[in-house]
Amino acid sequence: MPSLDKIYHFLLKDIQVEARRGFEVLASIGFISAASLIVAEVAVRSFTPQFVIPALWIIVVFIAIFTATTTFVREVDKRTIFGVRLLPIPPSIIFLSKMVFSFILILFQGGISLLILAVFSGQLYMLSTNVLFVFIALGLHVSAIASFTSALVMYSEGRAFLIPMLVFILTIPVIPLATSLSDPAVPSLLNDYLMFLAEVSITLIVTTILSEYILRT
Amino acid sequence: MDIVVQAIDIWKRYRGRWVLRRLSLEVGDSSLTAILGRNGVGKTTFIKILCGLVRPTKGKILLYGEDIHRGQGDYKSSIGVLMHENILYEELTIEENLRYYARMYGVEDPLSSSSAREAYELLGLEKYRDTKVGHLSFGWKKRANIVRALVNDPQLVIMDEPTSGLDEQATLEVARLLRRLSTNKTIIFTISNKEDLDILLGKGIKPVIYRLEDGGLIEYA
Repeated sequence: MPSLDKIYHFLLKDIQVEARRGFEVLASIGFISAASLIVAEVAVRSFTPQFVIPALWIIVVFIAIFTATTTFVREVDKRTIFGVRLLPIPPSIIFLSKMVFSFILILFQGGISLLILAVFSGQLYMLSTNVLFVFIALGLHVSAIASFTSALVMYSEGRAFLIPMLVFILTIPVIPLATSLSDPAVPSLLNDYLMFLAEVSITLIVTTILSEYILRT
Repeated sequence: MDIVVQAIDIWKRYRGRWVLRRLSLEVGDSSLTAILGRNGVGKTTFIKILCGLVRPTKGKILLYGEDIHRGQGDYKSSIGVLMHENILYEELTIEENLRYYARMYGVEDPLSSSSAREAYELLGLEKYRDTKVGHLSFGWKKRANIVRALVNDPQLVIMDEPTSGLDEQATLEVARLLRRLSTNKTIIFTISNKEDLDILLGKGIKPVIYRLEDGGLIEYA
């Protein structure tokens, strides 16, 4: 599978570059940890543990905004985008590589947030299978949105404003469903899970198809 | 001699100004073509159009008879491009960058082709192979970028100002490299400095020279 091989090497390069920009990752982890601790503290003090899960999903959206600035946008800032566009590989493979990279970042940083929230708010059900399932599926959804947004606005001068706006607008519609699916007080039906998975799948397919056109032009 | 590249009636409008107008060029197999022009006349724009990074407002680029802006980008594996700016990852070493690009072109060893190895040795990159690109001076970044352009052993090499920012010694090394590469590759390069061109000519290189002026190419006597 030559395409998988290309995705692997592209991804490996992105991880290496990111790991060597440790200060940015550390700053991001610091922000996420602090935000998670504050949310957990507020939830415990105000006896409102039901807000912990939606707060986690909002934190995941914030992480997606951060990853949107590290994928295509950084390649443009560093001029390495010319090297990327000269590669003899289809744009959809480049997009998928960036999406997998965003997904890894979101899982890693979101996982830290999830652990902190679960432990410090005492809501250990957050480590249950259905919450973890929603976390992974939502992670896929927002990583596709983050990479797509990054590709869409990479040459725009107003991208500092456009990235958070677009990521918010495109991810917020799935947050209510993700919240209800992960709420232990609300029994979820198999249909709800299937609908959520369908939404995530449609996002993946549509963003991959559109990225082919965006990156080619 | 087979025609490798044809630029047919290229027009490019950029920020309300016609940068290129009625530009046409034909380049034959295993030839060396130099495009001379002052800063801002559109050399880099033309190079970007030539390698498919920018679409012309009008006109087309044929590579081996095929329009590069219409296909699926298959031509990319047969060209090597040196951009004016550094396109290597500053956080990675020269070795890591070359290995990454080679693998993306489906090559395991970045120096497996004779042209890449020759360039690597001639430009003296061995001593900096484990240095991060971000820690290198402009001249060394340029040399590393030249080798990067050759890792896929391209038939067509397009270089945007390969000598700009280099000292005389490095310019001589590039001249030597161009002379060797031109024996079996088609090379198109731009140059803004007449003195650099004289250094190249002094090294026995005999390119077909064009001057880029008023958006078009004029053969340079």
